[in-house]
Amino acid sequence: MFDGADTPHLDHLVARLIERWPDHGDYVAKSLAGRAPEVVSASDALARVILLLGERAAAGVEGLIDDYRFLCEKIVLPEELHFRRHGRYRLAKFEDAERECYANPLLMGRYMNGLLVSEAVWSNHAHVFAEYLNDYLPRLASGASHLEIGPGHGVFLYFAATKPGVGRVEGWDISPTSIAKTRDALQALGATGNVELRLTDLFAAGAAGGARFDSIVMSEILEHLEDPVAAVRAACRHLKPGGLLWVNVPANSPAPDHIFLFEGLEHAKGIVEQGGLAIEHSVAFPMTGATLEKAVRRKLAVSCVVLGRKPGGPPDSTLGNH
Amino acid sequence: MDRDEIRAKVRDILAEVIEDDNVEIEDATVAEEVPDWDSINHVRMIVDIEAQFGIRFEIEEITRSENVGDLVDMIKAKLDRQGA
Repeated sequence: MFDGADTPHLDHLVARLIERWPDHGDYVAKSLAGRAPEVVSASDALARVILLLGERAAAGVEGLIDDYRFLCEKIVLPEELHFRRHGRYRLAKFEDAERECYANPLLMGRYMNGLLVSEAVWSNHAHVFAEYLNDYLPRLASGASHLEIGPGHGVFLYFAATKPGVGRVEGWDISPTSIAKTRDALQALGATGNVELRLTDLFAAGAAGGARFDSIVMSEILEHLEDPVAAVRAACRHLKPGGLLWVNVPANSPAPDHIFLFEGLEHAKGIVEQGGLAIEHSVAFPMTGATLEKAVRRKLAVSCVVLGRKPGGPPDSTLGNH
Repeated sequence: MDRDEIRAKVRDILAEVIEDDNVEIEDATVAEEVPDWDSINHVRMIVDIEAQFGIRFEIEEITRSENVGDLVDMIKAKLDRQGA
């Protein structure tokens, strides 16, 4: 499908998606067009995992696809309408998002399943995942300790846990539902050996354990919080000097539990800097069908990846320069 | 405002949203036939229609229209109700 590239899992996922939701075919074709070979390869690796998880789910792969459609049509679309009308997200308080979303396991289950499929289908999500797989994970030196805050569907954590040579891996979340979802995913994928999942509030975790991690990932977390700078600072306390924080936030991307509006890459970089880290690398990926220039000009959704380094590490830090 | 005037205004709004001054539509046109008329651009177009016509859509109405003709009828019905 991709200029001779061998992408059996992505081909299979796309075929089943379009079979289940034919009207989505044009969107999918647009999203897949123009992906670089390394992005396509990452999407294929991701599609393999999505299919494995789908085949082990009660409703099968079709259930995941139905949840993806539910995400697009019933979760995102009404929020997009509000955002376009008012120029802001509908909710601004964590307690409101908790009441509407986090306290609703049925909704959250479908939401996370939908997001899982979107990681391979939406252009910005697919590029972010490729960035994580191809750029970030190779930065982790052998034995590096790794933490993901809010691992959700568990796929990012799975690829970290199965990276050859990685040290201790942990996943923290404040939601029992999310932790259970991550645990189920890792068990289904056979990747629980070196992973510890903890029901932990990042802020309450405080100094417990000290600065233990070489690497921390916060993927699509900060937009769910009222004070993302405080969250970056809290995460930074768990990083060893010289450790890396990989942040992925969507800008101009309404969802029922997005309460902090990131306006673009510079905004995201500023938050990470205010949190006490030096920016090492940053990149933005526009939504399907838009160039980055057009997305910025039109305030369309853009995924922003920011890599920060905690000051104070030795020159020969266990995390290499890329 | 008659249907032809509404359709012409809808065309102008669509052209601005998808950044294609040459786009042409008729009652039977469906979004899938128009490059870049995707779900997000549809929402953006609806919001622009709301602003320019002074009307408001319910969320269910946004996905209900099968083609341009349906959308024009919906706008006309809302305008007629306002004028009644």
